[in-house]
Amino acid sequence: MRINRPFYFLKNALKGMTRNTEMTVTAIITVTSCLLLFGVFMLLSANINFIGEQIRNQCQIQAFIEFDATSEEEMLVYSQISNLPNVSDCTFVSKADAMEEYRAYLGADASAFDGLEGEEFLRSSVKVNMNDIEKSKELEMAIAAIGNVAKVSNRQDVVQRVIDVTDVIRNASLGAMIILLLVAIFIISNTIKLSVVARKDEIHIMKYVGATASFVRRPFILEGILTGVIGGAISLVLIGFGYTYVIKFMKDFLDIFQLIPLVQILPFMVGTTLIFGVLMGAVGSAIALVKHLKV
Amino acid sequence: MDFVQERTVMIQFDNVTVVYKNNVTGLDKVSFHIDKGEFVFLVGKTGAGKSSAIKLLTAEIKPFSGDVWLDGVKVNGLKNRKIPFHRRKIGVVFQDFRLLRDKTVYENVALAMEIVGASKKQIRTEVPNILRLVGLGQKTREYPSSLSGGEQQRVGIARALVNRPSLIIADEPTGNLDSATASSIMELFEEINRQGTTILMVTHSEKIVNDMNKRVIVLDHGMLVRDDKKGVYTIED
Repeated sequence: MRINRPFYFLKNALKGMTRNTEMTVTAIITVTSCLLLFGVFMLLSANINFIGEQIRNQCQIQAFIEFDATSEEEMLVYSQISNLPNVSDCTFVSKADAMEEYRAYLGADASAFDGLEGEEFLRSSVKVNMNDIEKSKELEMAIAAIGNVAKVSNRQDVVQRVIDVTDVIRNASLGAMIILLLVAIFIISNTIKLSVVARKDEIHIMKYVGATASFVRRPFILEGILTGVIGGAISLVLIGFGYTYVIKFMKDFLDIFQLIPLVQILPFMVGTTLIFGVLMGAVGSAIALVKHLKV
Repeated sequence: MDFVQERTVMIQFDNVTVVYKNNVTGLDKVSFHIDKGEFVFLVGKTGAGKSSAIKLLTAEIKPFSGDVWLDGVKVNGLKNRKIPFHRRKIGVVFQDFRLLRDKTVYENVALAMEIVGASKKQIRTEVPNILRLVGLGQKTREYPSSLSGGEQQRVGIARALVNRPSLIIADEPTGNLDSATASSIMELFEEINRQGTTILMVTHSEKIVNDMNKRVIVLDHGMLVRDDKKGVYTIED
């Protein structure tokens, strides 16, 4: 029976971690902090995309029909709009429906309109949802060209501004994530360097006894990976609790947009964080070994 | 051709020159050969080229010119990935023992076998055998710090021997030991040599060289200045 190699490497990696307990703890805390912030930026980015989609979906064009148009003319406008390209669906809002909506919007103050009917001062309209928000200007112009359309309201400018801002936040998050990864790799690399220095006698002996380069390096690579995975696991637990709290807070106090539910994003977060933890550990160790371990 | 040596030759240096990056010459056109089963002392002052010769054999450095052969293989022609396997043919004993303080006597010796991928069963059989051979059969569970200098060197020898190398390179193995302990260590080396292992020993000890009356190769300023079959250590060496 050959020596159980994976167990041998794991044992040596753990020994390396316990030999420099202080440095190992520092590295784990740093990796945890980096992956925590990494996770926060990742959640921010994912939710910005999610909210961006919600905003896109809320983007509607409303075509107001001439006040004195007949019911037949109103239906003709509705039918012409529904046949335009890039229209996903549209809804006709009669003067009475508009009054209902207005009353609902005003809430308690709606009593000021008691006794008034929508026909007296509100226009009928058609609410239009689009397939492609980027082409909303063209659709707006096409609707405006239809007879009996008095005015077209398009909130695309505002929506576009919100989307632009979310793009900036997303790109900034990506930049911050890259910097954090580099910091974590640097810290892991330094920890492994110290581990190599602490074991230089053993490495020297191993070299003379005929250990292959991979045999010498594997425990150090494993040590880096373990540091990354432990840091990743701790950060995931913290992110899980923190995100649950944020979702609750948003629901209780700021119910404008919905955030991605934890269960929906958790597999992605676990996968990404652990993969990055492993990669950071492996790359950090590899850098240290290339620089400080000649076999 | 990398395999042209006669089968009786263990080490051969063919016109070997070593030049370091700072232009210091380590060896200058050195040629000699050592047969299998020989016991050879390599002597010379500091900077004479002894370390260069050892580093060439362990493939830590390559010659500027010339070839180094070990057991029929051209060492300077080895690819990097082959070097660890080449080193398994050599057992190295150091002046400062180089034992791992956090491992027991048994573990220090077993490490050498673990590295070359020996089975647990082989390790359980071989390590106690080799420790008995060097006279440490009763000290397998002790840590190096509780051993005397001579005992620590015996552990070093056991570690060098355990993978049954065809060559033992001993770099000042008695340099840190008193003369009585040094004599017993030399007896051990003689016994190992009697069993067929070639030994190349670097030493500054005039007494040991003279007492053993073995072949002596003398280096000076990187050049081979003397090679006596039954040599002694002279004051110039």
